[in-house]
Amino acid sequence: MTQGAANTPGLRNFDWVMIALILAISLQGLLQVYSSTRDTEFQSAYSLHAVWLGLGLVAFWLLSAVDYHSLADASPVLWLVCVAALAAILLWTDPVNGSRRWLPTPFGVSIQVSEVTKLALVLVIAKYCSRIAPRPAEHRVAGDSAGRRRSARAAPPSSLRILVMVATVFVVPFVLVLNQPDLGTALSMCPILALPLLLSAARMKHIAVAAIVALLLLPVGWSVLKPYQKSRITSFLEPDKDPRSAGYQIIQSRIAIGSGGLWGQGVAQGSQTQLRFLPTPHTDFILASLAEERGFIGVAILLALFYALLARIVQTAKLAQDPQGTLIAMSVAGLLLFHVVVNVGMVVNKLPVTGLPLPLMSYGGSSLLTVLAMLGLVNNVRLRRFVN
Amino acid sequence: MTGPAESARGFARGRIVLFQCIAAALLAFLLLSFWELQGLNSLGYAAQAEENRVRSLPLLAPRGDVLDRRGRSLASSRVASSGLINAALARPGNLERIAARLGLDARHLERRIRDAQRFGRFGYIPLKERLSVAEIAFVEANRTDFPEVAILDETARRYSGSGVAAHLLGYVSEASTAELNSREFLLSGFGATIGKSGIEKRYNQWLTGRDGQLRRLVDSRGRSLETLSVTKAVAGKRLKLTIDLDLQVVAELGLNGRKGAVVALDPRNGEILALASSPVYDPNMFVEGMSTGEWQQVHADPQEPLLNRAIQGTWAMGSVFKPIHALAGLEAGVLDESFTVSCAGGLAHGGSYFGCHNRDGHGPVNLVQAIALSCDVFFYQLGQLLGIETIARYARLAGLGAKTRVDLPDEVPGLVPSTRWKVQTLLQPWHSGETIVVSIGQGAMSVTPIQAAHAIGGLAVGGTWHRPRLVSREQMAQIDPSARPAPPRRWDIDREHLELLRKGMWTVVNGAGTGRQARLADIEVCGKTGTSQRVSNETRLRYNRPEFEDDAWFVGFAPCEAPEIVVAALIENGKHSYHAAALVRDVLAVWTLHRNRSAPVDADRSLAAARKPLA
Repeated sequence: MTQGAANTPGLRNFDWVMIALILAISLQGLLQVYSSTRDTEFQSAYSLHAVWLGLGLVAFWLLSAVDYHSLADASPVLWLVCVAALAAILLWTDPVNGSRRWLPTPFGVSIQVSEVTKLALVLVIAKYCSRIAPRPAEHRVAGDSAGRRRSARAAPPSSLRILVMVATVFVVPFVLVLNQPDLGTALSMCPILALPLLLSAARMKHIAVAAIVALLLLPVGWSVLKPYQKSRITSFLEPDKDPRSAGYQIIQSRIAIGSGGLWGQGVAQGSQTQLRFLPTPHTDFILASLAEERGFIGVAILLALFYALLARIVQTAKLAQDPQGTLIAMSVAGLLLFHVVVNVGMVVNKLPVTGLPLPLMSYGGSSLLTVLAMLGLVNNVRLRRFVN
Repeated sequence: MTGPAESARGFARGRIVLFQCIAAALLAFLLLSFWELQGLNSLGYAAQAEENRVRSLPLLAPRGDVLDRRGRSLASSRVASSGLINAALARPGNLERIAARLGLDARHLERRIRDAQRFGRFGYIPLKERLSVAEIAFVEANRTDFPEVAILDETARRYSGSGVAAHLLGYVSEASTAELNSREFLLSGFGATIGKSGIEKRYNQWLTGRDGQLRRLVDSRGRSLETLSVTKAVAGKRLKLTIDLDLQVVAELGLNGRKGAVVALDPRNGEILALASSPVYDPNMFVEGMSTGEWQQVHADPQEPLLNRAIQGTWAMGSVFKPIHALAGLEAGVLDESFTVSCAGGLAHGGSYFGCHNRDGHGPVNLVQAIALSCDVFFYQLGQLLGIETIARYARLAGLGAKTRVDLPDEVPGLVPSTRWKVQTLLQPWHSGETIVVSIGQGAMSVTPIQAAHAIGGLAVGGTWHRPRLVSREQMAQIDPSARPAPPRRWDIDREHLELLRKGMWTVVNGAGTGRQARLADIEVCGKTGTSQRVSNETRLRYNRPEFEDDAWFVGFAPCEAPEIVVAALIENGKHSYHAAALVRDVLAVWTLHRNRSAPVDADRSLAAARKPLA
């Protein structure tokens, strides 16, 4: 699976359509970060955000440059480093705002290891799952003999071992992140496990069973939640019951969105955003701020851009030269969709407040960097769609 | 591309397509949610956003002053700093701290804020009136911590004196939730100060101004960014009463804290010159706000200081009823000037003995003497001749047993008993002995002091009863230009009969009568005393308790021939009617002083000249 230097794709082979979509979304994010932080203590956020955007594009390029097969081969080592770092954070750092998330480095920059871990997980899980993926011939080619089909149904002896391995690879960092505690990030790791499994291993019947089991486990999950997490969910269900504390964000978000109307109040004109009634208008609730100032039209354009980006990634997944590439692309698509749905659902009061940022939009370096790095992986897969 | 490559691209194709469909469905659903907020309900949310960013601060209009007939202030407004709290911004955690620093009850405050929200008031509501300097400093210093609290310079009601005219003025206080739901205060918003009783309640609308509004742009911390608009407050209008402060003060000093009331009015037009009730309270304490304990204390006080005895207290009328009773006899034709009864000190009837207040008997008395000496036996006889129905009919003609419809809230009608009344309310037949008791104003008959003044005053001016009023016709025309003044009630009485009554009542004061205490040198006073029993004489003498002592009445008018003022005084447990007579005399003395000084010289002379031949 090695590639000759002569075949290394150049910049002009990059997926410029995807890059255009990425820039269209993230520049709107940059504008909204600027608009929602004017005259506040965060007023320089947009320039920092621009720097992160630049760094993210570098990460995009870096993760496009090296063949994803090589990256996947190296990913177990990266995974080990991440897990060790997560453990170290839990053991040796002091909590900031009640949780341990940041690994200090000698260079004065702290790293949110959980984000890097996601990257490692995408590669590791895609790598292992691709091994249990049905052989293309079994899966697709018509006119095959019935005998070969039957042998495909009988799971190869190695696939159970691989499943256990995949589960372990996922559960260890998942539990570590959960203990930081960072429920939002931990939950956002789930699509990285779910999509490759759903695409490669599971049969539809098993998926249905898994969904039912998950539903049945919901009450158990409720009982292990911390009080503040419970209050987020109850206040999501009944925001007007406690309008001053937990329900405040939700109510103000609804007001901001609703008062935007069809065309919006105009950039830097939304009173909910500008007078800071809307909490965190440049991070988690950036879409509420955008909805207020740009209206339903602005939201529709943005969601259309997100859908176009997803569609482009899905197309890359279909074009990938092997299941591993498909799984990488679909992992990223799943992760992106999960983030968008959870954040937007929260903003319009259809899902509880989780504190997940809106990818490519919300202010915050680690989120932006991770998402762009992952999109770099997708570009990587597309660049190497041709089997040489 | 062939073979494996072609095959690889088919990997999990169906599920990938399914994923894309799910993604499209989810995003479409989310977009629909935005449409629900932005397309369908946009206006409602825009209003909420407006409510967020615009803070309206009320500019409270000062209440109109209340003046006496000479323009002296009875109630005015003065500047005070009030604390306001924004019901929408109030955070439960802050309330306790605010309440503690301002000396308020946190639970009570929470309830108020809930009430305000129930009444749809999400802006500022009164928190505490008349803040001290330390409290103002506390609020100013903690603006960022307590953005819900604001300070407003407003005017607060101030009643002059320590309770002068308290009952007739009434008091103002914050409207209760029940009052806000009533028709009367339909226009008042939550937290509005309204008149709770007396003049303040009756003329609330006239006295209340229109509040202004200051609209400011604020941020989420309540910091004011700019002023959007100012609507100035319109002050309430001035109300001039017919009360003469001097007479009022004399009446109140005369009562001197004893339970009782004094009403002075001009029988020619019904204008009330003094309306005093005792004991008094200080209405200022209601304005300042009292604790639950203080409130309960005032309401549970056995002296009932809040009761306006002049219009809400009823007592047996006693002998003051005798002129009315005598007139009934004259008009009904059962007696004339020469009708004479021999008083032997009492009357036996149906196995009971009804004594005269003079145990030795007055001997033979005619009508004028009977009034002058207040002979009970004469009226026992007359009552038996007339019967209860006739007595009741004439009593009602004189204005008893019905509200005088004075312009004060919560007046009570008193009672003129009759056969029908007894059967209907007590389910018992009328006994002829009761007629004897009613003949001298005792028994079930009860009147308010204002009724006593109103009834006797109407007789004194020849059978015309003007509705008592605290606001002159001229002032009333300003308040309600469409209101037609109620015409006086007239009763066509034989002049000769009235002259007999006047002679009797003249003798009470100026002859050998029971009311010599009321005599004045400068002016001729007519009147009638009354000493009404609270319990039987036997009980009173046996227990010797102050609350069993007789009530003292006196109703007098002056000048006798052409009355311009009638004064009724009642002192509960006052023992002797001459205490009441002295009180009426003092009021009349001050009135006379004013009359002689303030009337134009020419008119005064002509009046005096006109009166001389009559006197």
